[in-house]
Amino acid sequence: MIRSLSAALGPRMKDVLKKSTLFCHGTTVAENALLTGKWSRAGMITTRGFEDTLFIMRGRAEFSLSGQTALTSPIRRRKAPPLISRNDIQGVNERIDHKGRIVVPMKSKDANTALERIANDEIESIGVCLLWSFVNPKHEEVIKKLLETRYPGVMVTLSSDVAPQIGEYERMSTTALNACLAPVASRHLLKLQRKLSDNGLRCGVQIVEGHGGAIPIQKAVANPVGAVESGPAAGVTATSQLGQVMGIRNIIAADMGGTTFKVSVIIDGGIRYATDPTILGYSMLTPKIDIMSIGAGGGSIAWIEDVTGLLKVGPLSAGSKPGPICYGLGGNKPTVTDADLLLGYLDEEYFLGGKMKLRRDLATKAMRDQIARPLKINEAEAAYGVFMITTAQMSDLIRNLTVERGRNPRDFVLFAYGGAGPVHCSALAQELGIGKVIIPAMASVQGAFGAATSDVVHEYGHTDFLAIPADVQRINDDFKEIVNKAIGDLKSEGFSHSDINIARSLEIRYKRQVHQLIVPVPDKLVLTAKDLRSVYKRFAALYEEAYGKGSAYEEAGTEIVNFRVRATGKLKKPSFSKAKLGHKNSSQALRKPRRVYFGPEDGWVGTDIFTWDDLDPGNQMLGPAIVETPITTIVVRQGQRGMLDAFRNFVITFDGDHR
Amino acid sequence: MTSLDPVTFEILRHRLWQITDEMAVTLKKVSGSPSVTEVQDINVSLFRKNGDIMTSGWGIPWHITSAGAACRHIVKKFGNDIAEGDDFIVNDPYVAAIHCPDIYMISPIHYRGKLMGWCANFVHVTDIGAIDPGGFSPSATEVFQEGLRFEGIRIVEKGRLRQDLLDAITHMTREPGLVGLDITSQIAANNVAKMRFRELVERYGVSTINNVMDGLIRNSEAQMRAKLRELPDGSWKAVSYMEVEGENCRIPLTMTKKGDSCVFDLTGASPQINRALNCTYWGMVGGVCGAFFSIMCEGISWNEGILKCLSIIAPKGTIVNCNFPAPVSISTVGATAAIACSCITAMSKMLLASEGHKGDAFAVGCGCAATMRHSGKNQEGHYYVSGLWDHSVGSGGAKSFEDGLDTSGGQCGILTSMRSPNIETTELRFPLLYLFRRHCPDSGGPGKFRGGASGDCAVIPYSYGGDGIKLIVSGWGVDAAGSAGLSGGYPGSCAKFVMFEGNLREMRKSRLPAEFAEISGPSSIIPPQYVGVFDENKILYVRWAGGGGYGNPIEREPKAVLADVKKYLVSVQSARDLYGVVIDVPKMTINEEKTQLLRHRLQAKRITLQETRSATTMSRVAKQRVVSEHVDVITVGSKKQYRCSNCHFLLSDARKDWKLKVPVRDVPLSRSRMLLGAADSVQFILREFSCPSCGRIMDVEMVARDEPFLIDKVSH
Repeated sequence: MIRSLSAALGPRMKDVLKKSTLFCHGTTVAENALLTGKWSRAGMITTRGFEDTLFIMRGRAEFSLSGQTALTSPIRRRKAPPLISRNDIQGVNERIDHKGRIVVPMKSKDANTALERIANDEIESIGVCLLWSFVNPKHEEVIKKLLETRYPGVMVTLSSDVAPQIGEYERMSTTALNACLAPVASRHLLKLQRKLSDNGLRCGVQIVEGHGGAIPIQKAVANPVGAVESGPAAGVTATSQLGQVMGIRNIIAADMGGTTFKVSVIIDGGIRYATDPTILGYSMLTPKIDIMSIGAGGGSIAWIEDVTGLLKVGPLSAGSKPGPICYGLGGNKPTVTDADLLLGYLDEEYFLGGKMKLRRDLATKAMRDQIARPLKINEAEAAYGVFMITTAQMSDLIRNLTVERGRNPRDFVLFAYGGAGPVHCSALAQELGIGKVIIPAMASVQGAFGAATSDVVHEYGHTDFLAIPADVQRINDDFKEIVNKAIGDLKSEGFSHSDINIARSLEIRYKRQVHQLIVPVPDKLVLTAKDLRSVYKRFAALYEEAYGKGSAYEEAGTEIVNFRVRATGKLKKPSFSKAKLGHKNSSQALRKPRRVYFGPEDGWVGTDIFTWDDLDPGNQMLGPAIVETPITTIVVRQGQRGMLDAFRNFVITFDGDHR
Repeated sequence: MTSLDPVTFEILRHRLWQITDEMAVTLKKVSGSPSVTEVQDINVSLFRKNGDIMTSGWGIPWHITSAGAACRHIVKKFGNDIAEGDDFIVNDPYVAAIHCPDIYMISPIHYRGKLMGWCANFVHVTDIGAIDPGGFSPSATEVFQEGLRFEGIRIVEKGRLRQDLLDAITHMTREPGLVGLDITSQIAANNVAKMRFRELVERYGVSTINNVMDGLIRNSEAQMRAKLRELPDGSWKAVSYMEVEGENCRIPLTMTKKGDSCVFDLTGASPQINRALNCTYWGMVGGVCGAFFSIMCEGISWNEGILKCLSIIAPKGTIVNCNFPAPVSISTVGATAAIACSCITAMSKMLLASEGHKGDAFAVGCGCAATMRHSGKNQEGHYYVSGLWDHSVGSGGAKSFEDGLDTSGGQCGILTSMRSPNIETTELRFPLLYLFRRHCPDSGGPGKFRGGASGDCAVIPYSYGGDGIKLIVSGWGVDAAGSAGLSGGYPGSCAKFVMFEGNLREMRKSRLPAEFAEISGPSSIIPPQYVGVFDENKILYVRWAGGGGYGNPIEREPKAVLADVKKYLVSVQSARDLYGVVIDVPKMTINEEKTQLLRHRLQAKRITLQETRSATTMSRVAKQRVVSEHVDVITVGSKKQYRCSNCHFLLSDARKDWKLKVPVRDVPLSRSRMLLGAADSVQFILREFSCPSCGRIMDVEMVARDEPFLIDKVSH
């Protein structure tokens, strides 16, 4: 990273670092370690009798495929390879019950024996996950002390720290992820910090987390699981920030790359958090932005099904190597990107700003031989079929995400980014009846931009099962303890009172039902019985909103499950520079027009081609038109209007009925 | 293939699937009950207006065909009296559903007043007001004791819920609140389906949608028939057993495949019994078709088109097609599942007779039932009914190329949607405390590829109110192993239910038991169907069945055996006795020399020929057809002969069956080291067929002592 920084900034690097007031880093070290299988060997201590929890996984097995393909292929199911080998897991005789009462006290001698059995030179890290530790962490803490005294070099992850929530499988999986990633991540991050300060950086380094906020590097080192999938999360944060500036509250943030299409939904300005997040088949309880993905991307392969002769796209992908046929890197199966090229959406001479020349000849031949001929249609129709099927799959995902929450996609603005997103977004919006699409000026670096605009965020949780109506004093006491810790943490990181924001909430559920909901609590230091009554009322309303009318079983009673505190330390943010809108005429950005295919009804249409770099804020154009940027291509379809706004975002709107 | 353009077709196929997906999400959201949300005992599907299955979605596959039958029944019963916005309930197993607690919500989908199709879903509701709490009734001797039974009532009339009717239903159950929610969630799920479907018709037009629905079914049939034509003709046999009050009920199957269709013949099944493990006609169809979908239909939309390739013979009055009013409340996990086990084995043997489709073969996983319900007063003094769902993770059968999944796959290894709740969520809601829950060593069927390990657990009552907990056990697979192996692989372990005497006060004085062997105190075996009191002086132990193995255990990679030992999935002793792998303890390394010697000895002891008769060994002749992993057919002169594919020894004339010509060794299950925890019953044996020349085990049958050989016929 230092190397690429210095490549980009050259001799100015030290100067820039010296003057920097904020350094945010979105790291993929955790995902990379998981993807390449290069996590550290870790040990795990658990309650005796439950050593296989990590392997049983509550019966979960992942499909490499999704949707209907997965249903019809039970034989293709696999479990994710275990993070910790069974040999490195030891049980210790102890037991705590659901109220946190100690049923069987833990003897230090037993804990020591368990530790001795797993400790060896190769174990750099040990996780501890005991039953009910999130209610009573005493035994876990004793083990931590023992570890620190006897094995000072070994990193320790307690489940009651990293995932203090009910559900021993998910909690242990989170603990295991953290224990396995901690040594790798700390090496990487500490090296980074050293190099940065060697090169003159004076401010602290912040690491972006999967919940979209950042935490200081010293904390991130011990909590690498929190940084998992922070890249896509930062993209959503940036989108939400941009939406705030633009006054847009309902957003579909869509990121389409080479292999996946990722979507997150922002409703009423609020980012949604995942309820049951997983990474590569491993469950994790760390707060994480809810981002759904399907295997639809530029590399998705088009094929004809045997017997039925139907056209299919995916789930197999050519990825980036060998990639689409037109890359000329040895791919021989037609992909979505090949279709985009044949339809004239992409320019073979100006792909990635001309950095890569595309092989139209190869793509044409494959599309003809493998798709068009068997279907007895021409290549353009075949390519358009591939394009439409991909669009339909993406729209189905978005439709599910919005309608499942009782919302209509028409009420949203679509923000499209990622390499292949802007090519498809206008058709996608048309399909869903969405009236406005925004391709952010930062489309290619949405994640980095998100990192730069994030605040320091610490999430705290504490489980205390309290039947409602609960004792007001106890609630206040529970909150007070967490809030004091939160403020202390942020102060120690250099934040002053005025920069600290504390948001408290309660996780509440109906007793006999499974779902839990997070309900914000009034922003007061001491809550009254009346405040709480309004919280409970709010819970009932939220429950019905989330799960449907009549979905609550009130007679079973309600209870508080978790106390949550989100502590935010405000960081300085880059401001969005707003330009003055100039003239509408965009002709100065025109390049040579070309013929582009917009479906069997319209056929090939002579289309204006614009260079994004040459457009000025305020410039407009009518579809069909194509705008080429150095990193992506934007397609404006018939009946749509394109415009560069004051922030240099590209905005597509629809005139009249856009279906 | 279809008159529609292929792009629109594919787009609509995906959209229709998405509708079922959204139905499942709605069920889970609105119901919020553990059996729906955490265990996923549900199914969702869409049907044509005549009840033909069009798109089946997630859930338990037994119910797909039954839901279709339920739609047809509503058409028959209500005729012209079906209006837009109506929702119907069917749960009568003699009409369509499989057992009473699985309530089917059946709703017509109209567009501009015209019937376009149906949507249906089922939920296993928390209670149905039967003689025993929770829906499974071991005490019942006729269906009248198995709770509310509706052969079709209109619960929603033209969009208006008939609240009095819903109240009447919930009022007659032990858990009115939760059952009410379950039913509400079912109505909500179908409302979503109706709305989405209408949106599609609005957008694409009636004829396009009808064309797609026709096309989907036609395509599946064409794909299925094409696949069947690629497979050899022949007939394959399998048998399953269920223990009921000391008797063994037998479920034999002969599957005959000719050209592009299959016949499943269950003739010979035991007469019906007066216990609830019987299944009705629809339970039987669900078992056959659910297994067929899961094993044979990869990549094909599961719908009516596939069913056109199947026919079924099941004599009335038997345990697989019982007469009214025989009790059937355990059928879903009883006869239906046992039928599926037989079907999985027969179909897999057919797939193994084709080199191109060998990879689809699947040994049976978790061939047992270990269904537990418990009720009583919880920690807070409230009455509750619930399940113990640990076994629902199941165990996967081995495949021809890799091990079965450990603790995954649900019952039969194909109920892939099933999950188990966390221990903590169970302990929070119910007055129970787990002593352990773990992988059960030596539970996976030994084989070249090991069957998936099952698990076991021990539970004690904890801080309950009142007079203890009522425990209802609905099981089988305790005496006979239900997870058959393939190609010489051994079956997975039997299930086991034991009640120990003991209490927490005593146990906590030393260490809490953390595995079966550590539980002390007098114990008694719980019969597979049982209702009893579970109190603070008892410890319940439950083990469910492991998955069947594939191929010969002594051909398993020694390294893989060592890895299993290190994972506590195979014991050191079993590694030696079953896999012929000698492990030096405590170094935990393979003793190569001793292993080689032992493996040689294990195989050599089965050689019955005094000398190698080279004249009958035919290596140079190319095989004409594969019959199984270990047997192929060659032509010698004008005669076709069966040959051992390992040593090329000629086994027999191909007009006779090779099994009649090779050495057979019967090992009583109780004495077999191959099978963990087999009960003391001497009725069941492992029948090992081996090559007389090289000693390789060619097939293993888990059968009753008097069962005739399971002779498969492959046309050549």
